[in-house]
Amino acid sequence: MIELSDEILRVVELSVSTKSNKVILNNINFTCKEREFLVIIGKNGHGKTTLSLSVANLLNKNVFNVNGKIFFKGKDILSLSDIDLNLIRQKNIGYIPQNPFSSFNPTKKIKTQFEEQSKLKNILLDFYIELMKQLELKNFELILNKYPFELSGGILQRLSAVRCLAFKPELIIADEPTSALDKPVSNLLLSLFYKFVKDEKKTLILITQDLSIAEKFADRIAFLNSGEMNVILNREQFFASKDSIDLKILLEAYQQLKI
Amino acid sequence: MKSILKLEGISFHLKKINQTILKDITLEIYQSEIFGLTGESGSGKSTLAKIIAGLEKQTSGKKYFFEKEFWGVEPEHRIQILFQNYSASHDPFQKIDSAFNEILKIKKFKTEDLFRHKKEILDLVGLSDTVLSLYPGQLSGGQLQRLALAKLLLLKPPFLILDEPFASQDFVSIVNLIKIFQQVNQKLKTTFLCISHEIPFLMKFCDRIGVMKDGEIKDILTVERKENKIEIKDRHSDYTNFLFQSFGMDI
Repeated sequence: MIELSDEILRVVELSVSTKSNKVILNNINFTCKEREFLVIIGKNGHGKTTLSLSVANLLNKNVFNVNGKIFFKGKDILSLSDIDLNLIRQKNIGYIPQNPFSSFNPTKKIKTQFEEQSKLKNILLDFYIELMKQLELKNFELILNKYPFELSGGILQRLSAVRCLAFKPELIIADEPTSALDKPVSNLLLSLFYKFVKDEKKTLILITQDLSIAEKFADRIAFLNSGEMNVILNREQFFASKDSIDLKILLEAYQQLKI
Repeated sequence: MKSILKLEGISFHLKKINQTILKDITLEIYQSEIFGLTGESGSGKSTLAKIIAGLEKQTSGKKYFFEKEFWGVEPEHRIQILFQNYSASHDPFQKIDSAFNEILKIKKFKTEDLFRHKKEILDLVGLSDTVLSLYPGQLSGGQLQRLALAKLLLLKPPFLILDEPFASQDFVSIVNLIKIFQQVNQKLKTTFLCISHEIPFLMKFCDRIGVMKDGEIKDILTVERKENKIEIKDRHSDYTNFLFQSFGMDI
């Protein structure tokens, strides 16, 4: 159907509502190209996480009504069979969830979980360790031999990024991947993402509230407000944008907090 | 400047994993000051806050409040803490008014003053008095945080600890929160100890900022604020410099 050489993702008229007819996302349209760092900005409770989950087709169909189309390299992932969908998820789409505590299996050591994934995807375990070293996890042997609940939120968040980056998916969706990290480490992780996008020709959709991240790394920025995405602009245009009143208020607050 | 809280040689050691979390911390915080505490994750910021509030007991060292030594929880509950996980400080099945009354039982108020007092505190944190007839579940995340703050302020504690108040808040809420903290500080003369990773936010409203690393306070910086210009002139360590640079600031 829609086949453009460098277009990775196209979202067409995506709407999500709960079974009790509460609208969460309303008519969302956007596209994503290869080598693009797209940041989605929005306030609390305006549908950011729901959007990221629906792009990866992870929303529970018993709870949400999902309408619209999401094309990943020309295939509509909302209408794929479970088997095809799992294949795409295994190889092509990586997802970094917001809550690092619930994204690991609590009954297995980190090492076992990484080993399972590395066998499935033919990656060397050394590659995981290499990535861990880059994220300042220097005592990696100690960490690998622990269970998830023995580790802090900051460490788990880095590990879940490592787990995703290791298998080099074409598209990564990261939902607030730096919320539990301090600034120096957060910068390290974001630079790693940036390198991943630009050098390995991949695509990243990053969801955050932190405008300073967008200002530093993003190619394009989208503003999600009350479930609608009306503003999606280049970085320079975005910070000068006067399109939406809510965005103006947010940008003003950001300027006030800047030193 | 009169001291409100003084720590002398506070250490904290976890026997089970044989790890020293805090090493010989000495710190003095003055009355109606806003003190910021920052540092990398795992440097012991939260542990220090817990020891001050009495939720953890130090291995060695002394704590003084208004120049009187105390052990564990401050006996008159004059040190309060706003937790990072503020939504857990509300009972989902209790109306907000009833929760407020329960707190106010500690201080014996006349019935006619009760509502005025509640309204005064709610005004201060920017909530209307209509929330009193609601349940916590009917409020948004930002409102719940301000409500948790209101609950603490009902008893007008002279010392308030804020544990990562800006985590997972958007910029509009943060600007709002900082204004509220400043107002409370001016009107009730409350002393604040604010723990946060976000140094730019701390610089906006703190009088002094302590930088922690590996269980020690490396530097205490005085923030000078003059007409849209915020400066730090103290001598400081390389680590502090590194931390500020990660926010794109040169000091």
